[in-house]
Amino acid sequence: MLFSVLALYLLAFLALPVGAMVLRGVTNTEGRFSTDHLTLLLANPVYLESLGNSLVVACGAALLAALAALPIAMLLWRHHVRPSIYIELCGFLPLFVPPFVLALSLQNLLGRGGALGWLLGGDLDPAILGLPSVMLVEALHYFPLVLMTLVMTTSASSQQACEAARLGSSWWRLMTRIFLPLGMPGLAFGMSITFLKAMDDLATPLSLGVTNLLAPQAFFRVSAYGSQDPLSSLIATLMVVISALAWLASIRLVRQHVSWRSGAFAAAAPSRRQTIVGLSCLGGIVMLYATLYAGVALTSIARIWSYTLLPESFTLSHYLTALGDERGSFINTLIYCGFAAVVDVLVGLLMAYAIDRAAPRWKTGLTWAAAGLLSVPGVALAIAYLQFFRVVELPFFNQTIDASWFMLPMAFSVRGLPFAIRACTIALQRLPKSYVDAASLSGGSRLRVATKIVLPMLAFGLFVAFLLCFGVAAVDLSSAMLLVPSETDAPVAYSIYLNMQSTTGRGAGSALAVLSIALVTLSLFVLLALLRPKSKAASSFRKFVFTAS
Amino acid sequence: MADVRIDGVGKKYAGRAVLSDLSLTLNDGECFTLLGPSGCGKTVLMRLIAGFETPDCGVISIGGEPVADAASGQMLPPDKRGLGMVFQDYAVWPHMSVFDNVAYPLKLAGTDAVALRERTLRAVGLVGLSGLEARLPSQLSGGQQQRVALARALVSEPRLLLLDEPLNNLDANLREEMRFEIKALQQKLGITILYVTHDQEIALGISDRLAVMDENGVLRQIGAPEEVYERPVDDFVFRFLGIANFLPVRRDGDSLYIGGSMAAWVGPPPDKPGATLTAGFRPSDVLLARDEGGSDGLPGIIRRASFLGAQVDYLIDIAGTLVRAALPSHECLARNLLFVEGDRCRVELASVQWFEGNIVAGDRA
Ligand SMILES: Nc1ncnc2c1ncn2[C@@H]1O[C@H](COP(=O)(O)OP(=O)(O)O)[C@@H](O)[C@H]1O
Ligand SMILES: [Mg+2]
Repeated sequence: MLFSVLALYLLAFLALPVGAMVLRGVTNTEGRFSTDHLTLLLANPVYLESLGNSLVVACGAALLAALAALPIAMLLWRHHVRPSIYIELCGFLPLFVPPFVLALSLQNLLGRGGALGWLLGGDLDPAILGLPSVMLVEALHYFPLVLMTLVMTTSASSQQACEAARLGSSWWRLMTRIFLPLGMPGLAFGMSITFLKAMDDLATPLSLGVTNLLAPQAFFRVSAYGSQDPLSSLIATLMVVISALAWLASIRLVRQHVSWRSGAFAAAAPSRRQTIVGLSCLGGIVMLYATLYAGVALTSIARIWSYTLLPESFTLSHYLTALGDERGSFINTLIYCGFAAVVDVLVGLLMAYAIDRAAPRWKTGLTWAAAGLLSVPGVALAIAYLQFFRVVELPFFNQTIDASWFMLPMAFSVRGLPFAIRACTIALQRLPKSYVDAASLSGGSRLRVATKIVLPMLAFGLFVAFLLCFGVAAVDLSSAMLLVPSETDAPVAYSIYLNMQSTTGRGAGSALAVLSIALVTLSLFVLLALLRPKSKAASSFRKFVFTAS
Repeated sequence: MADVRIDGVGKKYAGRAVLSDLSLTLNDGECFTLLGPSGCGKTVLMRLIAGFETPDCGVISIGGEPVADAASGQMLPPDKRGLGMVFQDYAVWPHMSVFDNVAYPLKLAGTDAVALRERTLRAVGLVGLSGLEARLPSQLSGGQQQRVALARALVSEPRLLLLDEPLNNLDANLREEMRFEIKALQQKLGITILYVTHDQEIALGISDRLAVMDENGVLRQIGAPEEVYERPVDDFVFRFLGIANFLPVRRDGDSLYIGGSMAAWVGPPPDKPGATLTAGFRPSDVLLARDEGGSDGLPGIIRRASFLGAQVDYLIDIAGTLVRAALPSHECLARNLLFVEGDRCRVELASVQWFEGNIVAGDRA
């Protein structure tokens, strides 16, 4: 019974819409298979160019982030520096902050009238640089994630680092022989996330005025020709295929066994040298991001800021505007993301249970399939929904549901599902079967066992799952921009974007962005503080990322 | 009455038989141990008795009443079987205090508040945790959590107590202490205990009777600890109950030789027929003497000597077969028996178990 609900959910909100979308791209009006649309697509140089550009931006961003992360991770590894769980956690902040905020911050700094921009004559204006600046923004945004996944996989086995010393001290040799093989799972994970997110990102290129990428092109097709346009189906399908291929390629690398217990390391107090190396890396990175985000932070408190290095006078009025006028968007976020996260926790729990119960030979495959949901781009999912749910009539309301409030939360929930499944799997592992058996020895109804034993033991894990899914949904602009029916229905991330597009709204938009980032950071740390003891928090957090092997 | 009868029970998982046609009877009021290697199906049997699993065939009855009958499909739910259980991982609920954990069975049984409090405190006191009622399991040591599990299993005054390797995760001292306490509790309360373990020392120490199960879930021998230890029915049981030495012995007419060599067998004569035999003995059965040209005992060469404090361990080569010997240190000192590697010695055997055929010894030395 429960599993049929599960199957229904996956069919209705993933398989059928996406399947129908793919079909629409490769069939003609009579429903026959045809390559007409494909020919049309390939005949238009704009789309071919966009395909090339998207690949270049996504690959470039992943590579750039990796190139920046490698030397730093290597340095930390050579000095046996293992960052604390709090710092590792910060590496995952990029998943909960929309990257276009960075783009706008850079624009405030380097744009024509920006802090430094007017000094440089606008030569470095990100909006003028176009494609490279999209790539750079994505790389900068996801760099902490790549760095931390890499550090997490390598620093656990720094025992090998000691043995490595015997191989000679050539950095190149160490890097290729030991460091890279060790860190490959983390590196591949971080890079594939960067690739998938960069491919899917809609708000960043649009706020930099770049349109010749797949996501903006699909967005424009839908805005111009309506959701039933077969070419938008094809573009979205193309995005799904590319993402899935990238994901499959990375699985091979991520799947390598990672052992967290190799070497009783990090027990000893860090030496002075370790502290210095660790602090200078951390300090450098923090300085970098403080500078990068200064554009947004300063705008949020600036009364006027144009053609000067720093704002001339300061004000808090933007925050008041943000909290006052944009209250609606906070409520929208709470509703959409809260609803999506509740669905996620329920479906995720069922899925985790089903995977746990599956025969061992299915287990690994199912685990990876669940994680593979990460590779469904938000833009593609939104287009699939727009097309699919137009034809479905709600039984009681006698109207189509294409613009109704419910598509967005459902799309959010599908996007958050891989996170929910992972978190629920870990929650379930904290509840061995014997704990339930021990209760059934005393009898009592199933409901009673569920409320007295099962739920309390799962509660914390489910709460974490809820927060994760909420956070993931809250930054998911790619589906929101296509599915939000009107500006009054916009969630916070979309409101930030909309505000920032107008010169008058910049201050309030920035204030909203600062508030959201602060909120996300705060909730991550509160969560971690709740997870006690710390070692347990650390191990389950690391498990969250890496035990799908 | 809480005698347990298991009659022709079988259980398969994914087509693989874990238990097949297993029969066993526990007498009322005894402490019975099931001893077997890891993965042999001990937990499965226990879960069948508790009612968490259904047998594929056979009947299980407790106190004369059938609780699971594969033929008729009759199954009594776990809570109606009148038993308590301590799980291998304790399964102490982390979100409840010690008191709430222990009181849970009473609460569900609808015991009134006064009696509930009184009985819970009594059970907590019984396992020596008085004063810790308000603590959460995370504030307790492993041994204390195990006692909570024990108190929870005992609070509803079951007629049968199932203990699934409850002492595994404890350190050696605590294990010893808890073993005595469980035994004392059982004598005090007069309940039937089924104790499952792969540790032969606990099994020999705690049980009135024990059964030895092999890798395939087959019961090899059932009996009192002394009986099983002294008269193992086969080499599996012999090997399982302690360090085992095996010497192949060949019968040629009336003469006995060691293995393929021409060295004569000196020691207790075989009580089994046949031309090829194996003599089994424990390291403590070995009596050593200096080789002074005499012909008492078997000739041996010391291959390794390890001083272990209270005893000295020797690895001895007897006509090509390596055996282990353990001698009390004080005896070695008193009788000048501190050998070094390469020394020659004479070996006598205080007691020998004879097995038919040539048994290749497992992981000796
Ligand atoms: N629920 C189950 N599903 C499949 N196999 C099981 C299940 N429970 C036990 N087994 C198998 O039965 C065998 C015996 O397990 P168990 O009784 O737990 O061993 P032990 O004697 O160590 O307690 C093992 O090979 C195990 O894999
Ligand atoms: Mg077991």
